[in-house]
Amino acid sequence: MLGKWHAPKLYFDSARELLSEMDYHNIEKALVFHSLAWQYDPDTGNRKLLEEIENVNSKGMHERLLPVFVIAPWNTPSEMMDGESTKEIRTRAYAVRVFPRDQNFLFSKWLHPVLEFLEGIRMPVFINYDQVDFRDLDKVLASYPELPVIISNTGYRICRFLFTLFKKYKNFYLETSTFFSYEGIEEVCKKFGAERMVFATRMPFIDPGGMLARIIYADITEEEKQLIARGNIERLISEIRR
Amino acid sequence: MVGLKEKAERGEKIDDILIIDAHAHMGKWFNFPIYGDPSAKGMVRLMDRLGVSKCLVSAHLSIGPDFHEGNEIILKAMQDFPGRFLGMCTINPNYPQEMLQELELRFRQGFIGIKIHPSTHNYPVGGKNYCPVWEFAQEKKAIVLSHTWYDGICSPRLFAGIAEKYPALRILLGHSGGVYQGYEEAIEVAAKYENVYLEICGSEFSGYWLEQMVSKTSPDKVIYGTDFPFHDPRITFGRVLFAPLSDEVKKKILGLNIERILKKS
Repeated sequence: MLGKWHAPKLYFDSARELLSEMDYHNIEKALVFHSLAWQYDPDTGNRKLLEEIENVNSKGMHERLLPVFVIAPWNTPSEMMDGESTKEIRTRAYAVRVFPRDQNFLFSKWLHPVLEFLEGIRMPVFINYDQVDFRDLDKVLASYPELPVIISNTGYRICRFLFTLFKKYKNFYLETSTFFSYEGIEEVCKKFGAERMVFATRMPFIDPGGMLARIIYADITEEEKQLIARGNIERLISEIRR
Repeated sequence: MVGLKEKAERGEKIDDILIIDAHAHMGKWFNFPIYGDPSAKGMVRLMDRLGVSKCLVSAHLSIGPDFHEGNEIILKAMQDFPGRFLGMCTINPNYPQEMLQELELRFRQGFIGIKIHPSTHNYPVGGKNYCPVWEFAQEKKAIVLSHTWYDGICSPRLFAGIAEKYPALRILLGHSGGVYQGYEEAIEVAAKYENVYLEICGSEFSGYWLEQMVSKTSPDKVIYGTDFPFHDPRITFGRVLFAPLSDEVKKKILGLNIERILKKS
């Protein structure tokens, strides 16, 4: 995430600092969204995100930061989501994020036009664990089987929910940033395959060292590590229909 | 010489320095499944793989419903794997009549410290039932590892009075308050009291806070712990190895500090 935060003060907030952290930890690329899009206004934050990425436009550095748009329904006066928004998402986003609990909507069939659009272009959707009721999530995964949904910031107590949905739906993924379950990563690989996880850091709330070591020292094959570290997210991005 | 960060990048076992995990548990937990083997045997397997020589350990069962049975599990682990598990006797202040007897028994059996969990036992750290624990620990110059969180039950600030009144006991603030407001309090208390230390496992912790703790207290005050097997220990392991600190400081955090404290006990 880029941008400032109400509390606590994060350990960085700019694109340049993010790139420096990525260099220190040998992270080549990152999907990134803006704090203002979450905690102020999606459109303002998404624009700010693109500006900040453009501002590090030297030596191809901006190509390492892949924009993720925050979307919320009825954010325009006229439609649940207008044509301009959908065009921007289709052409510029590498994924979208939704914060239904914080931004007061339901991640459910209430969002049908939006979810249908996202499914149509195979756009990955990140959603934090604390933003959704799992009964709603279950229904969305069932109703939009080609929509890749990535559950995010899960913590380590989630497995009973997580594994139930992994078993039911092929379009359900986990980002690893706070998945601290003891040998949970190994268990997901064994039961459902490494294809279901994407590496993530939750910078700048926490730093990448813990999850990096978790993957590096994981008791899984090198091929599985590569899938988690980059292969799976690269595949999901490559499947977006621009 | 290859540095600790480079070793971690290569996934190498860190076997040329002392690593002691000062905050470990054992066994299962009620509200989530633990997929790795949470027994002593399973824990030793991963400790060996990473290069961790020993753990200060208390049972999940003890911080949950049955402290006595949990301490039995730890005793068996200490016997089955000599030197790998340093027993932390857990007591529950809601059973005040059983506490001293349990402490005396376990210290005779070789436990080296005391674990308290005011949150799961739902009893505030300033409550009178903990007084015999502080007195016992003071007499034994024992380590007390307490779960701490930024709340009214076990916030780091609540340990200031205890540290002052019982200067011979050594207080490890488990999780260092757990969230950023707690980290700030923990830093303040540890900076003021010689016998208070900062233990670093937790979901919200990061290399940034590690650096803050080292610079605002001392490299001698920060103690490695992982919450293993509640958490996978590779998380805190990586946070320290990848932190923007010198290898000398990392070595202190990973083992030398707690070894020094243990020698004084």
